[in-house]
Amino acid sequence: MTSNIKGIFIDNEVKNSIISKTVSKNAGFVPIIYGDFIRLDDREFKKGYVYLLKHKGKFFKKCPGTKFYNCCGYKIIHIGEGCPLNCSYCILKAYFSHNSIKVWANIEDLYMELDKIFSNREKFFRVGTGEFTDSLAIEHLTNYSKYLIEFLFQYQNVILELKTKVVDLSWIDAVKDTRFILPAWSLNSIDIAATEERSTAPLEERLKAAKTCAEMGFRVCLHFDPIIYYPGWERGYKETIEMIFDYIKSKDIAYLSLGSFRGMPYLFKFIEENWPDSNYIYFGEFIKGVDGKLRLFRPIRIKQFRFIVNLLRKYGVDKQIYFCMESDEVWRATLGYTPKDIGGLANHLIQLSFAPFQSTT
Amino acid sequence: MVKFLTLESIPKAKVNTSGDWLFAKIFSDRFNLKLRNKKYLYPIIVEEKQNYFDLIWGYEILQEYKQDKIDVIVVKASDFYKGLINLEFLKYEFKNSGKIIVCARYFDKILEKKDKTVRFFDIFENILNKKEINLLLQWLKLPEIFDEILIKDNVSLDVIEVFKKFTQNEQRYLLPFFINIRWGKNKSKIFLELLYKLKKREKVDIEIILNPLFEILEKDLSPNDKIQKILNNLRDRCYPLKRTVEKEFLQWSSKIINKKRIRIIPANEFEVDEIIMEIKFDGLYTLKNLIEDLKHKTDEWDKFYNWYKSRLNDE
Repeated sequence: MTSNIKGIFIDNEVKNSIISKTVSKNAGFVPIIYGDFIRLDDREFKKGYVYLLKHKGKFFKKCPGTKFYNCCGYKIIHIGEGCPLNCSYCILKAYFSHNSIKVWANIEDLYMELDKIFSNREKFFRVGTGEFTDSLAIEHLTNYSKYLIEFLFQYQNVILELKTKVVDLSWIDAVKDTRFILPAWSLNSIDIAATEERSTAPLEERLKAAKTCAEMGFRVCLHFDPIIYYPGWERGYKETIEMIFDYIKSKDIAYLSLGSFRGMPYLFKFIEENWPDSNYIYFGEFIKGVDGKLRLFRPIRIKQFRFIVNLLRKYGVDKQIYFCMESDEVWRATLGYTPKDIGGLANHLIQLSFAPFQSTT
Repeated sequence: MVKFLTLESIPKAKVNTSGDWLFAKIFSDRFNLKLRNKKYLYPIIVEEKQNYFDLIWGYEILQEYKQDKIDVIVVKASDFYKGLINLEFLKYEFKNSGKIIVCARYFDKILEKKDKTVRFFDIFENILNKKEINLLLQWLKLPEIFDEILIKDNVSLDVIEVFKKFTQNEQRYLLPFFINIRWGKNKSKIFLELLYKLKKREKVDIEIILNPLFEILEKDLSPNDKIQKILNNLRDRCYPLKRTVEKEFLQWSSKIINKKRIRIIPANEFEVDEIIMEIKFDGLYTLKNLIEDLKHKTDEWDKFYNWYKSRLNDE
């Protein structure tokens, strides 16, 4: 993945942070430039470059879900924004005007903020870093996840999910107890993964990595998001699902999410302008959802979800399945129950995340 | 050097009125009448050549003139300034009008390529906003034959945002749809967007997609009916399932409600199980009757609602 990175800019304010020092050590032949970059206008950040900066806002955030659909209650540890991978459907590329990768190098501030939150041992947290960036796409440079894992080990009430489309297992060295970490891979139909997810690891490589993790005692998470409608989608998703179980068993899966392709109208425009061969935006019957995002007409979403859920259930994945940003109507029609019936989605996922602890006590 | 004459000293036959900068010629008679009525507010401006005068401004006043004592200003001006003078006089007429393409074409021809964009922003800054100037520059990339649909205000300038996605050949195929029909601003964009979606999806010649639409175009219908039928045809092809469900919904609603007084619509484009009901009544008595009527149709409502849920749940 280093080949995707054209250069690294380290802001003077964070040049002494552990992240900056690690990046300097791991950069190899990638050029590093020191300077004052924090006040750059978004348009001045260069595409394909990594910027190590001081983050002055909150590091701990709620997932930006809307109240109109059921949100999974995911909590974000905000380590940076932007992604070197090139998935045509990615909202990050359309959302962030800077097109670069920003890494919040003041990890010491992040530790301080998280300590205040996680010290409340009464509360259980399912957190992840894969919302505004891929958790591991530049791990080889920053070792960010590795540091985070080491730091979080002191909090027995926190489970960290590392969501990615690459294969990088270097962070495993830092893990002292596999139950606290949930390595997660985003998956898609074999066709979409091959044509729309540029610079990512091939599906099979992701699943091989998942298998390695499972063999080491980790439970993994899988995310089918976005599920895309195109001619032949049934075959495409079926092949991917079959491939999953060539490598792992249903018991290895902590949870698995399904999310239909959706986005604000500007995402569709962005895809049209930047990825002219990405025809899937023309195949779907898109409507304006309750949250203002364009999404597939409900019966079509349900058809796709039901097809995938039925296949997954055949392989023994059942209560681990949940939907990302879907209505009660869709839950009921495909799974037969709503989040409320299982005690709320966020709570259900906390239960699933901490399940190994419950079975041993 | 500016010189003043009166019109009586200039024989009309010696005034050349064929200059491309005389943009007022493209406006309707109604506008020209307005100009004539305000003739004392507008001068006649000419440029003196060897043995004739080039009319720079005042075409309509010159046509109508019957008195002797109207002032004529004689100036020397480049083609650029001749255009600019006309644009200045007509700027309020050009605002929000596709007719501005005539000025844009004029300046496009006389300006050098290298600084054209910058000059365009200067020329049109008091009439159009930045986005509109950009749209105008994009429109200029189309062959001149397309200007007619803008001059007639059959489409709005922002149509170019979708229109430019089609190849030149496809654009020519589309021209008949706009030449004699005045599309609303939104409808022309929707038409092109649906067409583009179909083109990308079906990967066939646009001619094939357009065939059924040409049939509608040739029918003896009002322009509005043609537009409606064309859009419905495209929607049926772009959103086959949604359109079918919508039609079925309408059939059900006509069975179970008094359509004169009640309207039901699916909430959020069928996204949720809820249905919105609008009731029109002019007094308590009417309302009571409508409620009674609804109560008597409980079985039908049950059937309808079962259909509604199962249809949306793809059962």
